[in-house]
Amino acid sequence: MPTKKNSSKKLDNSAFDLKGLFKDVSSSIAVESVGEVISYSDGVVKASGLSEVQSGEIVEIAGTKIGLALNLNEDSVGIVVMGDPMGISVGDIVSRTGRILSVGVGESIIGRVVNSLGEIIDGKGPISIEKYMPLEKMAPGVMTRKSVSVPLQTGIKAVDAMIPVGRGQRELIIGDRSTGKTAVALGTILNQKQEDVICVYVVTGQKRAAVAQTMKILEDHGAMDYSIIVSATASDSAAEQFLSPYTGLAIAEYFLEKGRDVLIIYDDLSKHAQAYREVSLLLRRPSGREAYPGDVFYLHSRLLERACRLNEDNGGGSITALPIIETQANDVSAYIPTNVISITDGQIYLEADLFNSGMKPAINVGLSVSRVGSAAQLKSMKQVAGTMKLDLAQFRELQAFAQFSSDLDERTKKTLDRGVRVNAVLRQGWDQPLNVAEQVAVIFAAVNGYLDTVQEEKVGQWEKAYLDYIHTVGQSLLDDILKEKKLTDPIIERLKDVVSTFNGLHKELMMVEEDNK
Amino acid sequence: MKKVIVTTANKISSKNLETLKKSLVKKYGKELEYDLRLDPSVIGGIKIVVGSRSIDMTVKGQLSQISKQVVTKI
Repeated sequence: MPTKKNSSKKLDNSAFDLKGLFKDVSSSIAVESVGEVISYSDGVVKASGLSEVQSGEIVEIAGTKIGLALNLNEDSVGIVVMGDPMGISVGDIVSRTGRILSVGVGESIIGRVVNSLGEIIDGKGPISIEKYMPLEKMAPGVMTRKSVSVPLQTGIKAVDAMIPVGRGQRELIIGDRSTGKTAVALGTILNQKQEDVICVYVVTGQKRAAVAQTMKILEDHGAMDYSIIVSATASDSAAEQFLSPYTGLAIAEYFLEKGRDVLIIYDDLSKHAQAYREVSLLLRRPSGREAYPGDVFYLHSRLLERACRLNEDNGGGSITALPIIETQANDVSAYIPTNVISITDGQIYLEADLFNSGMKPAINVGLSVSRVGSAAQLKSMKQVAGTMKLDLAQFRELQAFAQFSSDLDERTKKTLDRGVRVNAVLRQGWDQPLNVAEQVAVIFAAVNGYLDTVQEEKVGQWEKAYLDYIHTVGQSLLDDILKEKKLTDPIIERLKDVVSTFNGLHKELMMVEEDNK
Repeated sequence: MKKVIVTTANKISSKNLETLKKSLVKKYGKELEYDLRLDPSVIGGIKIVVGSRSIDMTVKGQLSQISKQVVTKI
């Protein structure tokens, strides 16, 4: 409560100029297109009149509430109320605003949390709006695009090595609940710190506590300096939840137009489809499979098609989309998952079994795919990761025999041992992203047998110590890997040197000789 | 039959009503049904709603326009 002294101070303050507020204010005869509320139920208003309203237009109900005109019928209009629907009565005047749904964006939106309407909800003051971006827009045409060739480093070894994502690609993160989907997405955001990529994290239908937690995590890691959160939580109206991905995309397109690279994460599209189903059923639109409306495919395809890479003539920017879908009981052949899989350029498939057996991130490398593939990979990474997928595939085939390892021939045992270690190297803490040079160094050691002498359980320790070692002793080597972009022979020699020296220094991590020979 | 809702704060004089009806007939044709309403909260002026077009010349309407402009400035 401000004290009396404070409030009189405020009035004297020249920044609060009462007279100035009323300067330049004018009133005119308001000619509006209006209608009247005929009925209202469950967040949907049926209004008469409004003969000139446009589809998707914002309308004002009783002067204070905002609604979206979605159903245009011959003699009535179906309007979805945004925000708090309480206090609407039959007979209230509904008027057009002439604005199609759009969100105000400016540079100052970076680091902020907004809702589906673009309103600030983190309480840190208003943003200065530079442009109004429409939520619904045609995707960029074929001739304005360029093929994906620049990598988007997620910082996750399993992804960057074998399921590489490029800037402008759409890569789906799919899995059951609690398999680490959000963790993969957040890890990717954390890795963009040095990369000049703006991140937009769209939350649909989650708990507010979870959003608060996510915001804190991003703040603690300094990620809010280049990220924006769009939040439509579970208690927001279905209309707000259904619009939130489009709001996030509109914000991303503002930066795309300026030639920036943007990463947008939709967490998650399953809840988005459910919110859209709710809105459609309330608008009495005909329902189809699983009670989803007929255009639920179009709902996601028009969203994901706007993620693209533009050619130089159009700014050269890109939007990379990482949509998240939650499956039920690993069923990827359900309606919404199959829809989104067919739209995206690949998927990262997370499995609960892997997660429970300690493999984190729980990525099933066999079922995951990136249709852009090595076109979006650094050449040095391509060189080391090329054999990795093969090693792991062979390992998976032989895994069933792992229990009989003492009865197997040398060759099989070797494949198993190598596979176990390469697999162990893929384990990673979700908040510990590695830059591409570090990844190349670690994977190089794994696929070239330098881990074969390390004890199975100590591979994680080995990796940590090795990275520390290479940062102190071989920082120039890492810099060269980044600079040269491909592994030249001298670099390979230096890598071999560093690894062997390191192995020599850390005998405590190695297997005891008698067991091996 | 187009419905015309005329809202005023006090009863509109018959002379003014005739002038109004004449201009409305000119614009919208003869088939008009008038609904005269009294609403003291509009303070003054007149509001005419024809079909789905509303022409707001009330004091209340002007005040709400001004308040919207001032509020966005704060």
